Amino acid sequence: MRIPISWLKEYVDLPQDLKTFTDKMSMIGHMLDKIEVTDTDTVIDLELRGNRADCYAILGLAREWYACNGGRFDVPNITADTQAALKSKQYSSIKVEIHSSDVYRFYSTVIRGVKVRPSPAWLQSRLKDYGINPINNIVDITNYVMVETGMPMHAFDLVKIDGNRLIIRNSQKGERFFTFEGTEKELTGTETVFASENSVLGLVGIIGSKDSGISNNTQDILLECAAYDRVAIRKTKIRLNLHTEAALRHSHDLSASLCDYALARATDMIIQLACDGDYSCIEGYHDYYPNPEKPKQILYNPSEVKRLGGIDVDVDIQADILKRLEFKVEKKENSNNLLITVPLFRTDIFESADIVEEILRIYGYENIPSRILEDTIPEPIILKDLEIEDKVRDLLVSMGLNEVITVPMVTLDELEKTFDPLASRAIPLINPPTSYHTHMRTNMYTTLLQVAKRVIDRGDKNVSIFEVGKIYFKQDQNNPIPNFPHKLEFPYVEKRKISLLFASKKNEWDFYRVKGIIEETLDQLGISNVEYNRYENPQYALAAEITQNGLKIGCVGIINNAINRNFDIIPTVYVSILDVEALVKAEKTMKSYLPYSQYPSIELDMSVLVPFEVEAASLKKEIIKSGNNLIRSVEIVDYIEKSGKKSILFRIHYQSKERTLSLDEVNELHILIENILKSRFGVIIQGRDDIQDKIIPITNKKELINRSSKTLSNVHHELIESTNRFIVIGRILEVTKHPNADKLVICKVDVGKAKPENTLYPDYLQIITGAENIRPIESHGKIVPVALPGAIVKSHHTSEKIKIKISKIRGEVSEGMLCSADELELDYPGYDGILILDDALRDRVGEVFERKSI
Amino acid sequence: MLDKIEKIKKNFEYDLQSDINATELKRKYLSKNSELYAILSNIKNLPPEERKHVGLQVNELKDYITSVIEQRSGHNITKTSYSHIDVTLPGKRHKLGTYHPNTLIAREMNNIFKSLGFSVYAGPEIETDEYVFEKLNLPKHHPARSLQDTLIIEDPEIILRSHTSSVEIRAMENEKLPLRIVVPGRAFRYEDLNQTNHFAFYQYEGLAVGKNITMADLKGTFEIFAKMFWGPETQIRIRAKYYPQVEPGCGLDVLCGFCHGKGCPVCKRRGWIEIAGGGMVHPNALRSVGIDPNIYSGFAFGIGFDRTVMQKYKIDDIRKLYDGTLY
Repeated sequence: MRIPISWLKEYVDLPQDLKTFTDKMSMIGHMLDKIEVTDTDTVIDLELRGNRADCYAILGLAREWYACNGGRFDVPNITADTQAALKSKQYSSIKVEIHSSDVYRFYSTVIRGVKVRPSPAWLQSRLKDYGINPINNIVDITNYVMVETGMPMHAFDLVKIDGNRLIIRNSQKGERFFTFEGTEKELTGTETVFASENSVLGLVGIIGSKDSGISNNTQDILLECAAYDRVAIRKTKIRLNLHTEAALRHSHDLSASLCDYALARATDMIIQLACDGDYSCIEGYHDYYPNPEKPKQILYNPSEVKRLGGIDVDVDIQADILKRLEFKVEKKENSNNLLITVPLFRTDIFESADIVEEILRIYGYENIPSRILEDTIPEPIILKDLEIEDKVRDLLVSMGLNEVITVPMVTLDELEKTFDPLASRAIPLINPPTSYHTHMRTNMYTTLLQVAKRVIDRGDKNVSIFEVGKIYFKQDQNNPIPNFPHKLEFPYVEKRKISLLFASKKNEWDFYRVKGIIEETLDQLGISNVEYNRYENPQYALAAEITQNGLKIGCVGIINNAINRNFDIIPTVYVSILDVEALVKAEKTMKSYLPYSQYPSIELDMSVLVPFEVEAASLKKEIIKSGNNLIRSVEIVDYIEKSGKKSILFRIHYQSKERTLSLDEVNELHILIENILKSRFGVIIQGRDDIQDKIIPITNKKELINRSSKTLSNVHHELIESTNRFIVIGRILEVTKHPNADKLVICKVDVGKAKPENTLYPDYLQIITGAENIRPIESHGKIVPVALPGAIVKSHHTSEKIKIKISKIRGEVSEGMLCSADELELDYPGYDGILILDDALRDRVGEVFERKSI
Repeated sequence: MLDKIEKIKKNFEYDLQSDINATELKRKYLSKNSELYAILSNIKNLPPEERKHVGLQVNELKDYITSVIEQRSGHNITKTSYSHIDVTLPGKRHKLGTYHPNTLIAREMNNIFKSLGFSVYAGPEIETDEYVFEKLNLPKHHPARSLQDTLIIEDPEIILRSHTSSVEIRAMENEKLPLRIVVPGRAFRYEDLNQTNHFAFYQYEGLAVGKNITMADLKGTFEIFAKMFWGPETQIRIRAKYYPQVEPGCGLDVLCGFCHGKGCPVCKRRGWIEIAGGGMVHPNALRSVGIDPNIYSGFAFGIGFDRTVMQKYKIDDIRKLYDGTLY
């Protein structure tokens, strides 16, 4: 509401410093929007308060200021002549006929002999400062009084009301009229119009027609001030896009009681400014007011201010505030209660809480103390779905994923492009906010794919994103699913989901990496015993359904590349969905810290070659089953596809809770398991079944083939096979004398990529050996088998199995062992010392040493 | 043999009392000419059963002497050379992903309110007119409804919630009193999509209902929140404002950080920045869920969430929050 300050000063005193005024008005509910300085005045714009139609008026705001500030509040007087004329004599020259229930009051007067001319300068400048263009004195006065009192009014040229009947009726469908501003509007039959016998004169409460207005030739006028059904006005205003000053006010709760003062005030001004003060120009009045408003009364307990506001306000101060706001306050006998009569113009006051607000805001919200909830602390409510979502966020972010939030509306076309079976149950919006947001999403892939596309297009090589959000779809009426807190009959469902999406231009992702992220997530949530089973769905080129005891937790897979094409994304897209409800429901094992078994574990590897159809999970199950409770765990440490089959490296940790297992016992069990796998699944145990044709000996090749094949019968040989990843091919770079031992040398040995982390030197190992065939200079460049820390070899001295560790030998670190044939249990009689391998193997430094390496 | 070891130890400890320096100690006890070295090099000639025991003892002594000398010399005498490492080169990082800013701000707010006894709550986005409007003192054709033009699914009853206040009604219906909840959540309105407006935006709603809850509690709670969220020097004010679902209603402002209340373009010359709206839950809303407004009272507030996120992370366009351009 724009307030030209000089206009407001006519009614109340204002402080010198306008900020004091605007601050106070802001505090009591009329927030400062902006301040503007015009040529003639300062204009303060205060936000309109939705339930205070009486304050869309300068007088209304003046009353608010007066209530805070006290002092002067001058409401312009109405002359006795006008008062008399508007109450005593009805006009007869025009017949007013009202055929609409939207009219609450229609109060009018006929004034004859007006002189239409420009308004005086002061009036023009006030209207301009408010923001209304001056037209002529009659129209300007109607606008002036509207801004002053909040009541819109309209003046008709009597001549234009042909037939002398002013009819208020519903419009007819297809009826047309030109607004006062000159635009043509077609009516729909739902509006309420002013009409004469032959034409539409205006839309009630909104705008007059072009022809019925006041012209320079007008002599006699009908001036009206009315109250209508605000809903009807609001609908018409929106439908016809006519946001006039009148419509703004009439679409709020304006009291019909305000018509009396407003019509009288306008009449007074017209007599003064257009009739040279001649009150006899007033022909009379007409008042249609079938149900006059009655004042509301509220029984009010003054302690409510304390109960709701948290502050004590003296009853007399309370009463005083209310009186300044024009409430009537009576003390009830024999009780503390006050009987409060609400002024008619206060259409926003209904009950005690409203009275409390009136008192508090004028007394000053700034006087309310700060207190922190002294009430008992309620029991905490824990929503498990929110809690688990937050955990998953933490896990995914810690694994490098980026969280996004997307808009949950898409188009049906986009949903169909993701081949979503739910798309046919997508929920359309009746009034979509844009043409790109017409349906609620039935999956999160659609928007995540759009994000991925954008990220890739802007040049990023890698996308790894997730969203925690909802999907929405229509209930299957035959098989509805619960959708708390809605009832089962509620036709729509929204479900919480977590969706992940990965794509990379550099092939950073593969199915197993993505599955690994899901596995780690579920594991960290304590959800174990999860099964992954192949799952056929048009959305995926490959997918596994994730279940726990039949509960569907989600899926992980590779997006069908037809969807890639639909979204114009080139790299392979890996995705996963987790159902939050299922994550909540899933059985969880609490993580507990168990002490390690006091008996040592033995770790043996088993490398198997199987047809593609055989699933790793079934092999693993079989291994555990066959392990006779002597297996602590089975890991899959490596996996490759090779010659139409898959090669899987299992690492089996054998451990008993009751005793130390002997190597022989474990070896026997290991072979037993291998045999079971062979017979049940037709696997080939690598490094055993396939070994014979792969031996390439060093010197006398033929002879060595025979000798090596003999070693296969040796049971102990299995051990080397199974731990062979710790025995690799190395190249001696340099040999130097040990400073503290005559018979020892220090070797620098290159083991390429097999080098463990955190070694003494960044690029090679330091290994101490006492073997006589390793000597400075002459051994440089030799290729040798190297046992890395962790390898188990046969001790040269005791023939026992020993595990190679990083150790200090005579004060120097040794990070492994150069191996002799004997230590590797290779049968090369007569060959002492470290096994020197064929120079041709220099290209394979760092690879696992196998028999076939020889 | 063990006697010898014991003797070396005693001599060493005696020498430690004198001011003999580390280099000298090293020469005397750890060099090739030392007695200790002689024992060490002789171990292999001992019978196996004795070898183990003596080896253990002698190595223990050697470690002890070495560590004492290291301490005395002030540096590790067997220090390995790491000269090839350039400490100014960047490390190899394990990169974490990123949270959406909404998550971070919601968590920050949740933690503050949890410390004040509030629980985090949620409710449906697809709602009925009854829960979004009717029960919140917004009867059909209430003018305030026009400020919140809704997105409609099934005219006129089923809509997308236009504010998270619907969750207050759900909570009051389904939970026990006293009740304190906060609701970070999405709401939808028929709005133009531009730099500052979004048709799918976030609100942060709060509600406390009990027997002795007043505007003073709302003011105090908001003040604590503001000081914890923006810093202890933050100043707040509450002023009268109209919201249909509360009575009395208020606006909750924070003193403008740019002009400290003097008035500047950032705060539209108001000196204060509007952060939230709130007030005492309207008696009609309490009645709508069967709570007697003469016995119980409650406050509610709603924070403009996206705006707070944007202000905290200096994001200039609300659309960027929801189109995946941020992370």
